[in-house]
Amino acid sequence: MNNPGTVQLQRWMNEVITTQGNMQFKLQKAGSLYHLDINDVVAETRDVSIYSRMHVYTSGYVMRLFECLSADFPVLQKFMGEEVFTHFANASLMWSPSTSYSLYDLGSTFIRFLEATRPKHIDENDEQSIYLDLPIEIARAERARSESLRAKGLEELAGSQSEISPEDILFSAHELAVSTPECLRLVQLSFPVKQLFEQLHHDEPYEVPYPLPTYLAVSRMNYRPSMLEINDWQYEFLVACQTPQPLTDAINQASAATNIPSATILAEMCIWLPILQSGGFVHIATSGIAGLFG
Amino acid sequence: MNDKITSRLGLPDLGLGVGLRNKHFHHLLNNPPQVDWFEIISENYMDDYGFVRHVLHHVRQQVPVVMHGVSMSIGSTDPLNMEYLKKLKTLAEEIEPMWVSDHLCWTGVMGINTHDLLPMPLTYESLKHVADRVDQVQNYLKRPLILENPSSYLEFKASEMPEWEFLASLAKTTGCGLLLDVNNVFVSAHNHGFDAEHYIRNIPAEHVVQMHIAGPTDYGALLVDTHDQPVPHKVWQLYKLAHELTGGVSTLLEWDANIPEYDELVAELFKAKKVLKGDMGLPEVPIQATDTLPVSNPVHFQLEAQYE
Repeated sequence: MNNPGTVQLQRWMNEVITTQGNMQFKLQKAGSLYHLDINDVVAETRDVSIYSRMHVYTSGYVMRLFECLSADFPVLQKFMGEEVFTHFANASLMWSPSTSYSLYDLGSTFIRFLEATRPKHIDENDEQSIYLDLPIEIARAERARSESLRAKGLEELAGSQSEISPEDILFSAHELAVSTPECLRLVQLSFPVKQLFEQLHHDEPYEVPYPLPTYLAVSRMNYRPSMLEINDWQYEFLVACQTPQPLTDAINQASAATNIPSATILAEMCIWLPILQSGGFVHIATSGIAGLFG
Repeated sequence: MNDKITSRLGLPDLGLGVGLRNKHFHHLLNNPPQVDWFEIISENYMDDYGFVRHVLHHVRQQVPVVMHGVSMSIGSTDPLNMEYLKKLKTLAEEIEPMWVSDHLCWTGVMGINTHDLLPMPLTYESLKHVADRVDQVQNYLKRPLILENPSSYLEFKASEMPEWEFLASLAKTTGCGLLLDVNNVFVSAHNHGFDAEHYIRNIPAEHVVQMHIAGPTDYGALLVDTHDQPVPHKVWQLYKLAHELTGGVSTLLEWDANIPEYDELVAELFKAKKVLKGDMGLPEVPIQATDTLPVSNPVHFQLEAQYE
């Protein structure tokens, strides 16, 4: 036969590495697709079998990427247990191989895999559904946390932001402008996972929560992650803040979305806005909207 | 005219460096780097604007940095990933590295990235293919690309030349630089049964910009490139030879798994000083063996890093 070209050789080896199954099946599938036999492709040198040589690449592929997923989801791994996590992580790698230059993108594929392979015909009231849905929600919270740690934060502005006081909010709200940093993540979950997440993270005893629609805000300050479970008007306020605007406008937007009077939200802000500011959830400018960009 | 400078594509000998790894971030924020320079894994910093970026800027203010990539896939028969190259260029403009390097390999085709450094069929066809792509990348980045010889575990029957000849031709054709990983030469020489010294003697020394040293793992009949242990004596011997042939180039110790504390890492690197003085009286360091197949070609994934 003619020597195969680079295109054919690479497609064959790519197929052998990424196909699920044992070596025999991998070689069979790649062979049928690209009309190559390992004996015609891999040189025999020394006393090492060509199958052992290929095995370094096929097993290395799974082990390397598994290590990355394991590093990205330590909390989920604690909840699932190592054996179950390994099973799902390896299945995810075979379900959808990486198409990104970045190993970090494996994590988002993993969550899509968990969502796509969840059994569909389980009664929501069945306790079994908790154990099917909760890992997905933990994974989403964990992904939000790591995304927040990698995005642009407010650290460069530290020192230039003055702490906001209740008086500022009550008497000068019209002069305040708000925005959110790139590192803010807002997640809608079907479980209140924050406490469970922190207990798992710190290897503390935990109780499995019952389903409850929950909003989670994740951000960071001084490179430290922060996580808040928030209610609907707080969620709507942070959504509004994603477009830089005067504080009063953001409050009105949250009010319109939740039917809670703006005055009530403004009063709540006296306590809540300083918490948001210190946790890196919002950026506040005291000199109006232009101050956000100064 | 300084022949040494022009023979290195205008790139200086930076001295002795180590990889910037998150295990040492807190140490480096509070202590001087001790080393002459750092190498970063480009992909770990491209999209990360958190603590790792903060540490990178901190060390960059003190010493030079080199960007070393694992996903350019210069040998792939897929089209070049322009999104990747754009991000690489953007990071280079921000960090101002001394140079940008990657590997003579392909990482996947048909849109897939295996995140491994897969071996090239060493043919005249693939040589032309890679040379064309190196030209494209160098024109795009507006700087020479430095390519590393990977460790490998199989060779293609279709290959028409040894790796050193492929790299030499590639360097001479494109003007690219070479990152000579003497540990990878040692690993591949063992795995394929060629003479490591012969390989190094046939690499065009005037194109070698940088060297890597590391420790592999003995997996029965094969050595596996694991970067997880001290540099073995035989690799130091090859390093000494390469140093003599090149006249001395920037040297980096790779250690990417079971990473020691920073002081221990630097002590391992500084063994190179003794070797460079001709003192090979280093203690014999055996290559650790394992019955379990270790992960080859570690891709240096950064675990989550945050300020503590």
